[in-house]
Amino acid sequence: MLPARSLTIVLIPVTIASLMLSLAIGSVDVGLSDILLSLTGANENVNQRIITELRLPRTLTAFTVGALLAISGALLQVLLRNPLADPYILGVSGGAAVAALLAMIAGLAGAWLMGGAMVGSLISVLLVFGLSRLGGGNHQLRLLLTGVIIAAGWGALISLILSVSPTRQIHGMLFWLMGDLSGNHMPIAGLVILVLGAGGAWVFARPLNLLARGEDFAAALGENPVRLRNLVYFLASILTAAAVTLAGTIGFVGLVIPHLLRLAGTSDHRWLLPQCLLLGGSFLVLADALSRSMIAPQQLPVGVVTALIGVPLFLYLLIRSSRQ
Amino acid sequence: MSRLITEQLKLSAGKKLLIDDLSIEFEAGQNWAVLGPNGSGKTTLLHCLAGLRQADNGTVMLDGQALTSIASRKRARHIGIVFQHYDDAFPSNVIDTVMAGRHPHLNTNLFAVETAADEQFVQDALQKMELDPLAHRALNTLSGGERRRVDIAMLLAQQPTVRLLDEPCNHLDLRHQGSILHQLTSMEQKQAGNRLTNVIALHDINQAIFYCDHALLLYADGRTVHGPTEEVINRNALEELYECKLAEIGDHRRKLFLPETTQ
Repeated sequence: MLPARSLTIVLIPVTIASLMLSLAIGSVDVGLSDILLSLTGANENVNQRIITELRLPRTLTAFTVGALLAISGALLQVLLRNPLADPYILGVSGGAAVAALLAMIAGLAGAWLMGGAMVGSLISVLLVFGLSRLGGGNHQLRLLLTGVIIAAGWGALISLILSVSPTRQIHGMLFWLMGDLSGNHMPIAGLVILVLGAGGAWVFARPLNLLARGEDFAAALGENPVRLRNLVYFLASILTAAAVTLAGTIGFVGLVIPHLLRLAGTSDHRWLLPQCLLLGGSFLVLADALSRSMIAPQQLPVGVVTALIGVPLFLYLLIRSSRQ
Repeated sequence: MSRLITEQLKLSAGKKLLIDDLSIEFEAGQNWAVLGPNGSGKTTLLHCLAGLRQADNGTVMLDGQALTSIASRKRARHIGIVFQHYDDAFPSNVIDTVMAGRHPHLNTNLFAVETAADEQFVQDALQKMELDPLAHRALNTLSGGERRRVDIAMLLAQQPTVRLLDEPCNHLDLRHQGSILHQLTSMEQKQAGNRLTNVIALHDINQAIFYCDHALLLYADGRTVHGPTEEVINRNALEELYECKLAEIGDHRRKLFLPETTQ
């Protein structure tokens, strides 16, 4: 097992390599020197436009979404004290999806669609938070059950919308639901939310270490678990909402990346959160590069690729860790 | 800060009254045993004394200051608790878990790391609990008794003056039951110049008599009796407390109570 610090340092070149690879491959293969020239603006051929106008926004979007989901997953796993929690478990994505599909039916696209998804996810966040506070008892369990039930409700609404939508819209809807990185705008807002959110979460990394061991445990050592719990809930929700808004519901990253890093031996959130950012981001960048090159010119939904890579990788680590 | 007192404390769980009108003074240098049948409120009382739970009525004061008015970080530097049970949702190892006890003492500066002094407290705690060979073992590979010693080591690393322990001897083998209670109530008391206050929930009456100088009895109906061990622990009181017949053996130097065998 690598110490957490070394693992983090190893992840930095991995991240850079995955970003370069994603810029290099596609319908036209571009060499490394061409990429660097294009990024610095010194290159003025067709490759420069491919790189800066198509692949760079897409690559950065994939990185941002992957990082947002992995950090959100790590936070929710602590909040619910459940290693099976993923960013969508509390219904944030369901609310976003219902709003986005309704926007598609109304014929909206682009920024309107994204705005709708954002509003939908925030409604779901407040709904789950409010409902879970009614009554008393075990907060973590109540939050989990409320979230799962609301998510199921959204799921039913999604099926309803799909079943009554005109056929020509269904393909687009399914692609959105499976995760879609094809928008070609620079994800400026997403990057800002990522930086602020990851920074904000990191500030609480040490208290999170205690919260992961239990609310009473954290309280006995001088933390305020109620404040911490609310903060983690809203932070994780905003990160998820931003990811869903940018790219629909891409599965697997938020569940697998934090868990994989924990299996690799990182338990301190001061290291785990930056590792989630790097590995979550580069994992989705690579999955996206594969999704658009495996059966080019056709594209696979990136959520399918994340699962195709993630399932065997995760199983391998699980089996290896239980042998130790 | 090690004088913990309660005034007219009332605690209940749901509709069940656990403790009615308890006014008690836990003084520095004293080792208290808390005895009572299952469900009599031992754990609830310890949680309340640790500031983790609101009382239904009455107050808890630490050196004359209401516990609720003390900042939780500062409180955690003076009052520590070993819970009855720990539930590990995520993997961790022994040394990191013991280091968690240093949390209330750490610099709140974002980039501050654990200092050499913190590591020394952790090493001492590991040594006292005979855990140094296990320092880097994963928690889920430990036996029940080893895990229990980790919990106590964490309390030692935390260095509180008021130490609340909820059935610390659970899962411990015979040797460790004795050596750890001796460590907590005698050796460390001496080292600290009798400035520690130990409040220990126990199920073993004989350990209470042997290691503790004061006892608090919690009856099932909410009544409480407290005082020096030799004054409050006798056969009649214990038979009423546990609602079972006891046999008393031994001489004036050491008394032992055993449950009468029933058919």
